[in-house]
Amino acid sequence: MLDKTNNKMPPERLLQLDDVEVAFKTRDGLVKAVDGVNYHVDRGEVLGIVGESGSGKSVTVRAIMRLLARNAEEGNGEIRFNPDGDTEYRLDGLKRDSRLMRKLRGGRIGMVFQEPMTALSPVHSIGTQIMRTVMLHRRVGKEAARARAIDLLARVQLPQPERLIDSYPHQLSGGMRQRAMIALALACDPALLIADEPTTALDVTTEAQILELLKSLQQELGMAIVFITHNFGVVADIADRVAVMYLGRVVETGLVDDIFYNPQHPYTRALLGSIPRLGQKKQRRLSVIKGSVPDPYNIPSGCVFHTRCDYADPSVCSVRTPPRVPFERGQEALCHFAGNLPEAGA
Amino acid sequence: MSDASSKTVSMPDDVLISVRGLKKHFTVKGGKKGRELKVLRAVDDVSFDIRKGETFGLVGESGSGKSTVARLILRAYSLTDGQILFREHDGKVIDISSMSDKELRPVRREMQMIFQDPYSSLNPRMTLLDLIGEPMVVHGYSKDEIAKRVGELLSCVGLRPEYASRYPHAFSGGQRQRIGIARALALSPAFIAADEAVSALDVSVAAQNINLLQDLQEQFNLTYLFITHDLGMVEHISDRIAVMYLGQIVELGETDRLFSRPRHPYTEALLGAVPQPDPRKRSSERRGVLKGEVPDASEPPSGCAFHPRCAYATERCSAEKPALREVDGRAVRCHYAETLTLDGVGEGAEA
Repeated sequence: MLDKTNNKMPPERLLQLDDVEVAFKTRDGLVKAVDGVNYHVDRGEVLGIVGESGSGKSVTVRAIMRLLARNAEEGNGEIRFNPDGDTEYRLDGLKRDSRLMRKLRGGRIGMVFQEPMTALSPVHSIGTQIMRTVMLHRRVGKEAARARAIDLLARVQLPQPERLIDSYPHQLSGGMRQRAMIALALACDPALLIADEPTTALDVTTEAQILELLKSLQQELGMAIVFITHNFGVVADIADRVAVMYLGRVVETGLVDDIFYNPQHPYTRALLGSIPRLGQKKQRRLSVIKGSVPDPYNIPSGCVFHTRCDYADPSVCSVRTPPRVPFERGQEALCHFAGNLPEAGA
Repeated sequence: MSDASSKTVSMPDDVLISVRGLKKHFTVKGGKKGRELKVLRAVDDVSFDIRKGETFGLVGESGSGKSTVARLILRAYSLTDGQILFREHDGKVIDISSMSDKELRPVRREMQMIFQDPYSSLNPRMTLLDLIGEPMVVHGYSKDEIAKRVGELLSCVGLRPEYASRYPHAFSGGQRQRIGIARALALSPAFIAADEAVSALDVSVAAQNINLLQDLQEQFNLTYLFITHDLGMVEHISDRIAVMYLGQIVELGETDRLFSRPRHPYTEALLGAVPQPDPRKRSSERRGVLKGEVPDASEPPSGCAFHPRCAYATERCSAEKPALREVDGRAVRCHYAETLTLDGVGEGAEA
């Protein structure tokens, strides 16, 4: 596996995951939700994480934030985080309520979730929620925190921030709530913003607004973003690099252009082929990936994708774990035949 | 309350369903203390024809009234005004808008619906046999007939007939959606309304189910009303599309024409908002993002309902309501439909 020597991360590196494993103990046995995930995020870059449901993309970021469910069991993987360029923190092994984690979470790592209605408190005003975060991490008084909250609401382009600060989540529309949620996540100038499907519940027009907002905030504040989504269109729009996840593994990673125009893993290719693209000449049928995602109690042997793969060779793929095959510009694919597959038609 | 003249109804031979002047108004509480009553025009004067064997797409943001239209056609809601003409299998045209539940019963077997959420739309305490067979029980089939038909239907949608004795929890989201499709097919309908039928599914599974719907359409000569907010999907599956905004149709026409060369600014804005799976077409090269949000339907803007968000709006737009009229082979509700040059997507469109 990986060399777990304690060599430092390169200076541009903000976050690095090595062989992260998370399993859940359930009545029916152990479910390996994340099984050896490796990815990294450099300062100021946007990493898009795509995958179908059950691929472990959300569980992985919950491991970063130390917000895993209580029945979770972690392996020996490493999660390293260096928010300011001078101190490298090991997040793995930290308790959810440890002093350090409480300082980092909300302070150096901001979070935006899919459903702002359930992520925001319904009984506190938007302003109170932002002010509490600011006061907790910044040790400032109420006045200063309120001024900061108004400034943040203006930053996320909410109209009349002085008035909106005292409103409650139910008084806002879905798009405005998501903006408020982003303001809350940015309260303490995080080095890393984790956005878990932040636009999935929104209409396309609102989605476009939120994506534009995130992009401009990212440029302005220089933070890095981990953006989780199942929508390839959204990834293409916002990400610098992409990690494609399947059944608890990163099966391919690379620069956004390489992933879209030169995918090396059969799963990435198949996924890209199965989305109907706007403005494309109508083909009669969509290409599909056969079968469905296997259930996590019965993860296939060898390469986890072999049961659905068009190129699988049973004598190899169902037996041996595939290697990480490197390509140019940091692209990697977890496949026995990566680089030797027929030319992509996409 | 339809017209008295609805006794003699007719429509062109190739039309299966004709919706005319459809309205649905809800009364909602408004004002400071919630004591004032306001009228929310969820569907406000909507007319269109669905041709036999075609897939008619209905798109729009949430709150545009697209689901309400489907529910009205299936008479799940009573309508405020308008006509819904339906051609029965013997060719007779009937107006179902004012029929009683009893009169509707024979018509209902010809019109079915597929729902969005495959988890909440199947009763977890019923087996597939009961779930799929239920419509047949209602329509008086014998037990043996039902068991045989359920087996056939399961294989039609790509599930094994032996699964009939299982419960929905044993199936994945995509498979549950297939169970819903089998149930909709149980009474051999002519028409199926699919409301966000694949929106809750993963990409690869959604593609499988879309292909299934298209196969079934060919096999059973079905007519679909396909409602979705996914413009890529609706473009793929629909022959014609109606774009709705605040309870009204703003543009209606053939899919290729509508998408390659939209005539209504809202259609253009919707198309422009879709993130493309193509990093070289990032939104920096995209047209301006549509500003603001869908207004409250109980207090619609004056004039053209879209004017506060429209990039091309003039004074006339805030004063005068545009009518839906024929321009360039489609129906458009915009004062400037002839003169605007709007961007579409795909082959016929300018880059």
